[in-house]
Amino acid sequence: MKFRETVLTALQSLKMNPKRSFMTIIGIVIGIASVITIMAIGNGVNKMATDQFKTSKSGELKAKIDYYGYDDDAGQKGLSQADVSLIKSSDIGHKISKIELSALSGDTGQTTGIINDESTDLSFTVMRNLDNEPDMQSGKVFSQNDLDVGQNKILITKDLAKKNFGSAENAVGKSVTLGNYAYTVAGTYNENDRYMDNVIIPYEAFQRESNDDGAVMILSVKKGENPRKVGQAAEKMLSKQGSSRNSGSYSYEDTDKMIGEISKVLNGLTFFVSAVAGISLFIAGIGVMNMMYISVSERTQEIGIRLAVGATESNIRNQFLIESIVLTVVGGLIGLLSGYLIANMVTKFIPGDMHIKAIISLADVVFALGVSTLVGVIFGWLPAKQAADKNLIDILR
Amino acid sequence: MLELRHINKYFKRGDDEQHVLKDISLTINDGEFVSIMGHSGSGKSTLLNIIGLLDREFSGDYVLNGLDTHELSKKKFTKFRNENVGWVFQNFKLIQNMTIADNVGLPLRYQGKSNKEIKQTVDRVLDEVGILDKADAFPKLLSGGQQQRVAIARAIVTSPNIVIADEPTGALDSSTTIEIMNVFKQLNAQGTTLIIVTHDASVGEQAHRMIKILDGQVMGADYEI
Repeated sequence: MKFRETVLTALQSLKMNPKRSFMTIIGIVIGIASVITIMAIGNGVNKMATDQFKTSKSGELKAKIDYYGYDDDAGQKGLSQADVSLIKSSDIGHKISKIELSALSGDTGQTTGIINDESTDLSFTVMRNLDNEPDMQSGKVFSQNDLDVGQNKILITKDLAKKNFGSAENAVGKSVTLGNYAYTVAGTYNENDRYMDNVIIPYEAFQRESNDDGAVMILSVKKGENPRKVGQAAEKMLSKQGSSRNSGSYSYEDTDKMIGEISKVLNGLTFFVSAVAGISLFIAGIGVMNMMYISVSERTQEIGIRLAVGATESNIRNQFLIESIVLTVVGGLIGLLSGYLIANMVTKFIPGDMHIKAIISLADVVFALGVSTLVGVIFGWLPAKQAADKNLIDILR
Repeated sequence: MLELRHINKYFKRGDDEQHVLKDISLTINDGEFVSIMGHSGSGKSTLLNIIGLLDREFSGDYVLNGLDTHELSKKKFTKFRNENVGWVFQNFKLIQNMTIADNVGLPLRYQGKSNKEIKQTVDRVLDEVGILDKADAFPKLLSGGQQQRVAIARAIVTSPNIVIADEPTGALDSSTTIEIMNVFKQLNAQGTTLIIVTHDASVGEQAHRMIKILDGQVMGADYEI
């Protein structure tokens, strides 16, 4: 009998008992799905880690150093052109192609501003798009056009408006100076988790601010140099000789280390999930075996007829073995698909700005199919052998 | 031609050994229509299993078409049966979840024939036994007579030179019995050797030769009818 016919026969007999077949493969689905989930996330983390070192087109890598002031003395940025010169003239200077300063750390920064002719320290958030609108109290939020061209418009908190202009409504239309530019107040807002700073300005408007000083230093490291070593050396140098070393601290943001920590957690999780999956697959395998034994005894007549009309023992054994494998491989495929979907859902809930995506590699597909086939063979073997060993004369009597 | 020489068969029941077939020797020529009759327990079904190549656990020689069946390996034995013997069982023995055409085509499937060839042959034999219109039906929708026609079609689909039937009319009423016997006679007229086991004398007497079995022995000389 041809292989194709044997597979078709197997599918046909599995269809005779759809509920029983489905129940039997649930365990396989759970086992494979959990392993695939954790592997897809692991792949995503690895991909992100490699992507991080590919951001620069010219092959340059970046190292980032943050400055944290000891007191909440707003307006103090900590990094100046003096610090830039210090690093450029040092012995790591030749490894660096460019040094940029930015007042932004993430989407927030600090600078001095002037409200009602009074100089004051302000913390600000830059707004890049309209996805996260602040909770407005009066006036209007920026338009898309304001964001695109970087209009000199500003949103201030309700409290700041009350303090300086009497009320939230009065503030609208007034002028506020932030850094080197004057902005018109477009509206006032209530602080929330996303917008905790005093004011909000369009990101493009912030770009015009001079970058003579800032709270963040970005070092573009030349090709072939280790950004981690350069970053750590710069951090050390700034801590000793930096312009604001007495009022704050410098720290190199080690993305490698962060990824390393995620990987550590992930490895622990993988171990745990694999153990669960192993148990699940074992129990599922016993379920498959049980179902196959029942199937063999239910179909004793069929086996007898097949043997009588010319089936060999290996024909019968293969028929039941393939039935068991078809069952578990279908389970494996469903598990693969659901594992991918679950991993996609889980990555959405990973905190922080990591942009991890679930990725299924060819190895994962091979793994899922391989393991499910193996379960089918191992747990289908004994029932299939029992079917093949049945005594023809006894059955037909 | 098939030839049995000094066939002995024992069944073991615990410590007891039962001598079921006692030194049976007989010869059946090609194209014969032979009936084997006997009471239940006489050993006639056991003898039929040996003749029909289902059972190879016996002592003595069985030469079929010039070949000593003891010399075949288990796998070759199955193939040899598939090609040379067609079996018709008492209660039809059809696989319930397969269509009539699939049931009849099963022996050809195990020969590894192509789908096209199987379909052609199946259609031909179904037409021969007069139930071509039921090809896509399932066995449980057919009457007893129709199911036995399917079983006969399955037995002759490989064009064997011997067809063996174990109580082929045992589950049928008298008018259907006549129908089925006519199908068998037609088969025999076309040159197929036919061996039927029955305890119904009216069926047994329609054969050209009758072999009577009593307590595992052939009774007297078998006689022409």
